[in-house]
Amino acid sequence: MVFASLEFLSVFLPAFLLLYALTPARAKNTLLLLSSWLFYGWWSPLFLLLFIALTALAWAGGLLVERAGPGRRGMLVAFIVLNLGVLAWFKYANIVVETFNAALAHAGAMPMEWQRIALPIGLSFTVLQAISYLVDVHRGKFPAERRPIDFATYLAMFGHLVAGPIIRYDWVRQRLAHRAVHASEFATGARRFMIGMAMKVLVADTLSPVVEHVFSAAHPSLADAWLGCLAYTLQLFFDFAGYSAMAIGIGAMLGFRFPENFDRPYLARNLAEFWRRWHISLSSWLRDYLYVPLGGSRKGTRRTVLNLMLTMAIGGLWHGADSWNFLYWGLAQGIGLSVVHLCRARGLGLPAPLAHAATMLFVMLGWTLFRAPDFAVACDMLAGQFGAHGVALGAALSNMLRPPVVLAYLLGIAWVLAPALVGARRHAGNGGAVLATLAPIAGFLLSLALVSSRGTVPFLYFQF
Amino acid sequence: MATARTNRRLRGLLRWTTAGVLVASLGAAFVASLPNMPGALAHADASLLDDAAARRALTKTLVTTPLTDTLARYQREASWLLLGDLGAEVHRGEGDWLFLDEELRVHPGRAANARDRAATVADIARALAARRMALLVVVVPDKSRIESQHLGRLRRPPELEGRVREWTAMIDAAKVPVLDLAPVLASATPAPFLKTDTHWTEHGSQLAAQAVAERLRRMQVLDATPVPSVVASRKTVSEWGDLVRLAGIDGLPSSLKPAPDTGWQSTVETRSESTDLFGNTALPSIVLIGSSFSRRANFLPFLQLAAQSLVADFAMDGGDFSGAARRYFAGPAFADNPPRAIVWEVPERALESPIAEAERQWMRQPFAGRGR
Repeated sequence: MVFASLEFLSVFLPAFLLLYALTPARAKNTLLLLSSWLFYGWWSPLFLLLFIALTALAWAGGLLVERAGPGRRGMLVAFIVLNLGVLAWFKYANIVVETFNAALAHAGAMPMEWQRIALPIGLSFTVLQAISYLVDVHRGKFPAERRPIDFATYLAMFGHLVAGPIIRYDWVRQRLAHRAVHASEFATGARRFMIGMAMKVLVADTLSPVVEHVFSAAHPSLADAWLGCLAYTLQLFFDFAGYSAMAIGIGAMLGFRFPENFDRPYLARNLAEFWRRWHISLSSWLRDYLYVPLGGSRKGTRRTVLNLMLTMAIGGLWHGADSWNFLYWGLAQGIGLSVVHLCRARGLGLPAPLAHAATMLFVMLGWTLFRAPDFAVACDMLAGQFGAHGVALGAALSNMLRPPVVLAYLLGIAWVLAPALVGARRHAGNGGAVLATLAPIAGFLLSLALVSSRGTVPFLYFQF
Repeated sequence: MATARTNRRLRGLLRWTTAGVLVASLGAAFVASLPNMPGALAHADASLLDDAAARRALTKTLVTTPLTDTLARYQREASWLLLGDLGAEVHRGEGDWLFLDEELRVHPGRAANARDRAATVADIARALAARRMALLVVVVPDKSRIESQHLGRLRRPPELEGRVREWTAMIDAAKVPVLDLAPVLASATPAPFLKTDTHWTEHGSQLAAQAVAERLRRMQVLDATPVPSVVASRKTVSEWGDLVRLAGIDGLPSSLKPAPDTGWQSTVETRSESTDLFGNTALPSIVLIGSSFSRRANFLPFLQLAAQSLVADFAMDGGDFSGAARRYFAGPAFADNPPRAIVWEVPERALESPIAEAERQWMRQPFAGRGR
């Protein structure tokens, strides 16, 4: 089930909200847990068992790590390895075997037989949340959760279960134990949910066919390649940030406060700033549980560069299950961040507009690598972006640029740039308040009509 | 002071409006889906646990409501009236000429798909020949190829130009009779395709039927004793085609829709007692399998008229490349009444389209069903 689907909007969410309102406070977590498992199980009942097992493992792991004496560290490492082992098996077994088979084929040997493994939805997010919980218990940040239902509710909460944001236990534990739903929080949540849905449906889903087409076309021209790359740049942001906004909105409607996951990333003026603004819950996770423990930037320039490369390469790998492109993309980000670090250390910089343009160019070329199904397609697409396959707009893409698609491009660009353009005029009196209320409502109602018209829409970030 | 109070009130009201709209929208959608619940629950059993397709079907049953249908219809209509957009599936060319997106799409892996389909046709033709059955493959060109002068700002991708020629060359190389209808239809006047429909007019259909009959005659597979057909009557009709329905604007008042197609509709009578498919008489010796082109604009009656022979209809709406073939070769009609010749009509747009898993399985063993 995805948020921007009819089954979620017309059955699951209203039924859940109704029951949630009627359920006494002490049973709300149980209802939320059971509903979240139903939400997950509707996709894949078998993977729900795996999910429950991982939950039990993390819960028991927290208690054991807390109680263990001198062997705490070893126990923590064991539980982390267990979690990562599950993730590695489901996420990377296919690509490792396929690469191995390709090498065998190259050497003229028979490939080994292999039945592809399906990746359970949301596994990557669940594992990161479980690891952060175990590490934080080990660090003594908070006591291990005694109540299995509360802990399971934290991991399973359908708002962020399948696609983040990556929530840390510390952020929600007080509200898991006790929360009240305030009308104003519900209204704020409703607004965030509406905005998120409009972002996803009006922009991301409308641009999706353009992305599909360009990234599957052979030898795209310069115009095709850049229009496709721009479409993906917008699609990825509006899909993911839209989903995060819906998750934050649902959280608020239930009495939780989830942190922001995006902060105008496409206005960043260098790559380090971009990563502070993009998928913040993942960036901060990588910083706190990987980069800093590796030594961060405290051990000299060489070590800093190495840590950046390692962190971003692992971050890239975390995204990818079907292609080594994610690793290459992560390494490219590591190189970019290292360059930013070295320039900063030497006091070098570009004028703001140029810095913004250079950052966006790097980010967009990176997205090409990120989106392409394999390295050959990425190279073909990048060659198109540099004009190697001609310049003119192709006929197939020209036909796809229908008025709603052009409007989605314009809306997406305006939405991304608006904070920079509007800036100081944010608090624009009652007129602005009316607009700020009516625009999400109109966007939501239009999205609802579009979802009805298009049928169920997929969510891009599930694949990660 | 009073202004500040008014502002606070306004902002409070706006907040409540947002929450109210969300609750009202979700509530209305939920209430609309309630009548579907008993039906959906009646189909809910343990098999759902490992059957994703069944879960999807159940969900679809649950959420398809008059409210969602109405919302979808309003969205399509507003998009047409405000933006002149007909959705992702239909494009507007010049004037009231509409075109199916599928015809203008360049599919990934298209060459391999076309090659695999040609290989399947060759395998089937060989297997049929071994059983003394002839196969004639008939390719119906895209409307956007034949009516290209009406494309307006739409552009037909150059990658599609050679697809019929290349595919029929593969079929030809396998020594399977193949007929490309493009030359026949390209020179036709009046227009061989409808403006608001993806299919042909009766004129186009009749020209195609005559070309197919002529080819069957040359293949010497027609019955020695002719079965006469005549055009008994003909009336003028004016109606909107399937592309208007596909665009979801068929509910609009006439003045707000593209102009309807105007043409004639014939009644063709075949004077034979052996047309009763469900009686004791044997099936005709010519069988037609194909897509909706075979089922529109009197194609089959025109084929019987031109061939002066009976033709059994096993075509299938939405059958694309292989839908009708899969059903026919697996069915009792093929096993019990093998024909002398099979006419396999294929739309050009289906030659390179992605091959679904079910079709891929069938291609491995096309005669694996009952008709073996």
